[in-house]
Amino acid sequence: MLGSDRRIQAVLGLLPERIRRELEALPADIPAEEIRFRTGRPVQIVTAKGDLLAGSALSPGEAKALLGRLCGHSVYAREEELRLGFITLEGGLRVGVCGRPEVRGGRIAGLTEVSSFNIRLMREAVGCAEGVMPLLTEGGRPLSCLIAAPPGGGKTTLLRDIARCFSNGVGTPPRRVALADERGELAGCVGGEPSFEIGSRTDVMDLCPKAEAISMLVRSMSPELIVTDEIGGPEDAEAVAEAARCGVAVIASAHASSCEEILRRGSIERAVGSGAFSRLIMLRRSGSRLSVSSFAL
Amino acid sequence: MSAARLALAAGAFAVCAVFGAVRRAEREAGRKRLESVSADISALRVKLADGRLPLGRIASELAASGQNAGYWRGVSEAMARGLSFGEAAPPVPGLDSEADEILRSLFAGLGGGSLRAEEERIERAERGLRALLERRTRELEKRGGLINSLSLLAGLAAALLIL
Repeated sequence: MLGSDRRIQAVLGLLPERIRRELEALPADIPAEEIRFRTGRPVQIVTAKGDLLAGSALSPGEAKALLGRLCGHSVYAREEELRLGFITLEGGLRVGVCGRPEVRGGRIAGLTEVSSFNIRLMREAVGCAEGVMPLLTEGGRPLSCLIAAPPGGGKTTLLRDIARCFSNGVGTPPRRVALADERGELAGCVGGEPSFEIGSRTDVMDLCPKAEAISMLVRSMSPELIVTDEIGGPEDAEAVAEAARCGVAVIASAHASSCEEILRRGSIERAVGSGAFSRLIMLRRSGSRLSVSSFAL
Repeated sequence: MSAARLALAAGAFAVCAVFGAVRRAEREAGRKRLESVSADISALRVKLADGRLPLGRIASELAASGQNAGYWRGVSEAMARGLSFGEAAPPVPGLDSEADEILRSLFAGLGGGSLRAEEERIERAERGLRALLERRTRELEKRGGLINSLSLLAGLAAALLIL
């Protein structure tokens, strides 16, 4: 069985009986980070050290039924999330979905014929940011920082705990923190309630495009720090720069495996050039070990 | 003419009259049931389209609104156990086979499609139920009186025969 995590058990309970039994027969100590289901192909279990193919294939009918169960048998109610390519389940589990998009008026309206599911087993690591807090503050005030790592490098887990530390005053005076949580991964809100420990002074703008969320948060919640995940496009960089001009610190993450790589990305280069970030933190992960390097920008 | 024969004739007349009244009341009850279910389906569409509420919650709200409360409570409880709407919703008691067929085809795949597809599906069912309700109302107006008259006539004939 893939561990006794209540969230994993809840997801296993949604699978077709046959596949669930096969997965339950696996050893309990597989440190699964993702479970991927694809129609017509075996289940892929991804760990930090590699992956494992197990279990029989999902049929197209089973994939449709699984989507229904993941959406509480009300797919239309999760249409906005599906349009973005994922569903957030109770407990903050995020399920990426892939298939044939339904395009209406030149806009993706949803997904039909879902063929792949990627269940990301997000881990909460309360306390993991405490060691990096000195890099994120100056004179007790939060610094605007860019945190970079390759996909799966622990950015989201670290960001979540950074929000908690600033919000609860761990290693710094407590601050008003706002999360621009476009994909619902930072707070894992279900029915407006965060599934993760994100701090007592943290407001969440959930499942809203980042750039708009940042502008709205600056206008409405007067945060001292905005935390957001995976900035990329020029509108994100512009929103971060605008927040910085309003005196709000922003801690954001981006996919990159080196300093050079991240600074080559046009929109991020422009945000850095405009002084939106004062520090770059690179994360490197080796198995369960995380190393941190910090650079002044 | 004996008193017993008179009593028997009166009894036969009364039985026929009551039979007619009961049949009419049954038809009226069926029509009212259809009317209330039809109103529930319209309410379901509004909650689904405007509120984008999940079906389990809609069923629970319909249970609280009073009309067919027991039925919707059962659906809501079954959905909370993980069943789909089609699995959770049994045939609505007290409806004829035509209404039952409309609802069965609506409930079978409800919840599995996009918002637009679900709205279209519910609107189609609403149209079907509305047409059926109009037909049943007309039938009741026409045949309700006929059933009453025929049963009274039958009662009178039976009484005369006995006498």
